[in-house]
Amino acid sequence: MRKTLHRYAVIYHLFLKNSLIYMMEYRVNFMFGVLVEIGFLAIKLSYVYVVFRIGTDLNGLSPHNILLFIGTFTIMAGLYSALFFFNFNRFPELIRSGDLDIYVTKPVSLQFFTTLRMIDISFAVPNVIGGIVMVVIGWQNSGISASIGHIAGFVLFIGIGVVLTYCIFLLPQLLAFWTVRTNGINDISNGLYDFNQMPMQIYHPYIQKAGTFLLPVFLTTNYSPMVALDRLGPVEWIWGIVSPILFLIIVRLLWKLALRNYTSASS
Amino acid sequence: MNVASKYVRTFILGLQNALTYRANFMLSLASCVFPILIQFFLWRSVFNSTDQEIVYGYTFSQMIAYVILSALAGKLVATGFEYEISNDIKTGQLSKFSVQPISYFLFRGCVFIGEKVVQLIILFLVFVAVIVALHVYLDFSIQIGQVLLFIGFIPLSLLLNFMIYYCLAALGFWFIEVWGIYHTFSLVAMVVGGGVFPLDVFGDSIQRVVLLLPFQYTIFHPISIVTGKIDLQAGLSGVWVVLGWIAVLFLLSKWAWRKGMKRFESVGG
Repeated sequence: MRKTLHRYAVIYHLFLKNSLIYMMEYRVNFMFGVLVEIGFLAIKLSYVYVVFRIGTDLNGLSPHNILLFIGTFTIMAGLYSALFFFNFNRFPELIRSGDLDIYVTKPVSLQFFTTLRMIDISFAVPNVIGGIVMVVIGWQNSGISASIGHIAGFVLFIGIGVVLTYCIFLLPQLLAFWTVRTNGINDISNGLYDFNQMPMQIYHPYIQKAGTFLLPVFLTTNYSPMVALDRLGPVEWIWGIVSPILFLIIVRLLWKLALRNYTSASS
Repeated sequence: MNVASKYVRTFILGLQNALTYRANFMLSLASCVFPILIQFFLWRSVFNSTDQEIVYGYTFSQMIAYVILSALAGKLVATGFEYEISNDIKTGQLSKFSVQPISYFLFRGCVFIGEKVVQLIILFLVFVAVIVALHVYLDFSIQIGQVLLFIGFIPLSLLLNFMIYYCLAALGFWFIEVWGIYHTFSLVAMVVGGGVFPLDVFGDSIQRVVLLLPFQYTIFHPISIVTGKIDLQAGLSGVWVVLGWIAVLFLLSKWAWRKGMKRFESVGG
C-alpha cells in the first residue's frame, strides 16, 4: 500500500513537472489563464462590494464573515480550475474519439491517469492569491483568533473540499460513457457549484440540506469558514469527515460500472 | 446572385445554424436558473435584514425582475463570432472572403442576426411569461409603453454588442492568440453592462465611469426601461445614444479593420 502510494505520488509529481514545462513553453496561454481568472475574480469581488455597501448582517453573518466565505470559494474555484477542470473538460472527448484506448493500456490506474494528468496553475494564481487576501481580511475583522485549532480546521476542510469537488465534478462526466457529450450537464454542475458564491446560510433550509447531504456542494467551501467561526456542530463535523470517503467510494464504483459501457468507438 | 439575395442566404445560414443547435441554447437558457436563484436568495436576505422597502432605489419585485430579465438579456446579446473571426485571421481563411464578392462585415452581421432571430423569438415568449408571472406573484407593475420600448430597444442592444465585438475581433490581426483577451473582456463587459448587478448598486465614482461606456446599453438600460426604473423620456433618449455609439463603433471598426488588413499575411490560406 505504502509502495503504491509512493509510486502514484512520484507519477503525480511528473504530471506537475510536465505541466510546468508546457506552461513555460506556451507563456501566452499562461498569461491568458491569469487574465481570464482575473475576470472571474472581478465578478466575485462585485458580490463582496455589494455585501459591504449594504453593510448589514445577512442571516446572522456580518459582511466580514461573508468575505471569509467568498474568499474560501475563490480559493477553491482556483484549485478546481488548476487541478481538475482541463482533465474533466477533455474527458468526454477521450471517449468520443476512442483515445481512451491508449490510456487503458498504461500500467497505472485509468481513473488516476485521465482525471488528474493535466495541471494548469495559471488558473489558480489570481483566485488563490485573491481568495487568501479575502480570507485574511475576513478572518481578522471577524475577530477569529489565529489559533492552531482554527487554522488546522480551516485547512483540513479545504483539503476535504478539494476531494469533494473532484467527486462532484467527476460524477456528471461519467455520463459521457453513455451519452458521449456532457456539455449540458456541465453547465448544470457548474451552476450548482456557483451556489457557493454566497454562504449556504442565505438559502432556503431545504436547499441547505440538499446541498449538504444529498450532493454535498456546500461542504466544498462552507465548512472551512464555519470551523473558523465555531459554527460547525458535531453532526456536521462527522458528516464533513465521512462524506469525502463515501463519495470517493461512490465515484470509484460508478467509474468501474461506467467503464463497462466503453465501446472504444472510432478507434 | 444579386446583392440582397446573397446576404439573405447568409442570414438563412445563421438561422439554420441556430435551429441546429437549438437544444444547446435551451440548455444554456436553463443554466440561467442558478445565478437567478443565488441572487434571489441574496436579495431576499438583504430585504429581510434591512427592513426597508427600497434598497438601492429598487423594490424587491423590481430587483427580482432585474435579476431574471438581465440574466435572459445577457444570453440574448451574447456573441461568439469573435472567436470565429480570429480563427479566420489565424488560419488565413479570411483571404477567401477578400476574393469573393461579399463584404465580410455584412456576412458576419447577417449570420449573427440570423442566429439571434430564433433566440429572439424564444426569449420574447420567455420575457412575456416572466413579466406576467412577476406581475401576478410579486405585484410587479407593467407599463405597456415601457414594455413596447423595451421590445424595440433589444434589437439595438444586439446591434451595439455586435459592433463592440466586431471592433474587438480586429485584435486578431495583431495577436495570434486572443482567446484570453476575448474571454476576459466579455466577463468585465458583463459586470459593467449590468449583467451581474444593476449598476445602481455601485458607488457614484464607479457609476460615473461605467455610465460613460456603451456597455450599459446592452443590458442595464433596456432592463431599466421595463422595470420602470427610468421613465419613457429617459428610455427614448437612450435610443439616440445607442445609435450614436453604433455609428462611432462602425467607424472605429472600419479604421481598425483597414489597419489590420494591411498586416494580414494569409498564413496557410
